[in-house]
Amino acid sequence: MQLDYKEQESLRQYLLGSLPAEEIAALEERLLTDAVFYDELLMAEDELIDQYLSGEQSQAERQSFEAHFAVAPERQQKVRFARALKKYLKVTNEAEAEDVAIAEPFLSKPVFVADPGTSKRSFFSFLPENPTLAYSLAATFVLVIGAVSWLAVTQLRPTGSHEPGKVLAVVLTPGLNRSVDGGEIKKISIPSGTDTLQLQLELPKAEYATYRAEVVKSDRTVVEIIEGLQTATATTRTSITVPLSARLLKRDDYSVKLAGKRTDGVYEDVASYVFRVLN
Amino acid sequence: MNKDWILTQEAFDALLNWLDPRREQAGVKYEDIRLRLIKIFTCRGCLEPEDLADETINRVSKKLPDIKDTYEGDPTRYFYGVANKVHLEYVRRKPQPIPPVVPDNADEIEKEYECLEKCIEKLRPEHRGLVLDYYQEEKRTRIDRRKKLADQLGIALNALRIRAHRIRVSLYQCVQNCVQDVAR
Repeated sequence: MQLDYKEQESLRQYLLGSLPAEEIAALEERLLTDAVFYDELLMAEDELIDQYLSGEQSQAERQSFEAHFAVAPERQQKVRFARALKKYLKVTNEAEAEDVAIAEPFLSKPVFVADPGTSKRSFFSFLPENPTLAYSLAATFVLVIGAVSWLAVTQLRPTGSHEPGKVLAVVLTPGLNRSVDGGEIKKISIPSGTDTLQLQLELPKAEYATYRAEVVKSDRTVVEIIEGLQTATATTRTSITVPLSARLLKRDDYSVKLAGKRTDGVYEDVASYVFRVLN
Repeated sequence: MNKDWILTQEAFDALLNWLDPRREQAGVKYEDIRLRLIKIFTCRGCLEPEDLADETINRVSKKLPDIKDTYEGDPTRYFYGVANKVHLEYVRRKPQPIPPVVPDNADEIEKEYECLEKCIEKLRPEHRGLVLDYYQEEKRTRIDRRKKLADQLGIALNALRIRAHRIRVSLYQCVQNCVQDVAR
């Protein structure tokens, strides 16, 4: 769920201790009852820290950050972590820039200049000193890289806008959990050539106009979030169809968290489903 | 605060059962409520957020035999009401001085940085690439870069944001564990 600007701003003000008192209770109650909203708060915390370290806050926000937000020891730790991450990114960027800087003079003036003071070698340092031969090899290298990239792009094309193509439909029942219900996890073998895995999530009843499905891998990585899903009722069964690109699914355990959208725009957890992809 | 009452196993079981008759689901709900109460007390500037969250849970457990048959609605909201009372008592107590911010120690910073390098190396290549791309500086081009990254992965921008955040959380936990291991 993407919070609207007002909601994001409220969370930000709350974290900085500047949300009007009359709005605090409603926001805190929502934090306790709405898992997605709580996750948004955690993300807003990290974003606030990054903005502070990058000098992207106003003077007033910086003061609130230092006097209110960063007082908690846990947050001081997070600031230290963010600072270390920022430094790591900077060091990585500089190392990459250095590699490019070493490679560029060689390409503009085909003379290889070895740098005895560093163990890092130019990416193109394997080329011969003969300029004609070097240019030929460099051109060949570029062509090969281009061909490989084209192949990679065509084979690993993003799947957000894929056509349904060959579809494998699987019915999942809610709450099927190995330890709680003693049931077996749904095992799915996806035949080669399948484009779409169509999950049919069974529901006891349709309570919301639209739903959101969040598909998560066993390491809690989000694979897909689909909003605006609607129920379909056939005879006595109500279900929701969630189309997933088969390319997104590798051998792993997955869970699908289904949430219903209330009239005030807040999502409420409805049910969760689990399945295992075998191949 | 009334800290005389001790949470017994029986009372804790009753609390879990009130949250959800399914034991495992109840455990998840309990953990969620505790973490969120800690966060709320932290956001209110409390210096002992864990203690206040535990005190809130103890009080709900103590009150449970009186309310469980008549209380209607989401139990989580009841915790919020009790948390407000616990907080009120906290602010009425003699305020504790805010501990001074301990200046960062150069050795610790160095250790933490080394841990970060190790933890980033341990990430799966696609996670490492994502987190490094997502958190690149360059304010001017950041939005465009993130849009491009989301397109490459075939996911929405907000899904990318959630994904990057979760990797960051796992990285943070890895670094904290590593720092503790080094200190032992």
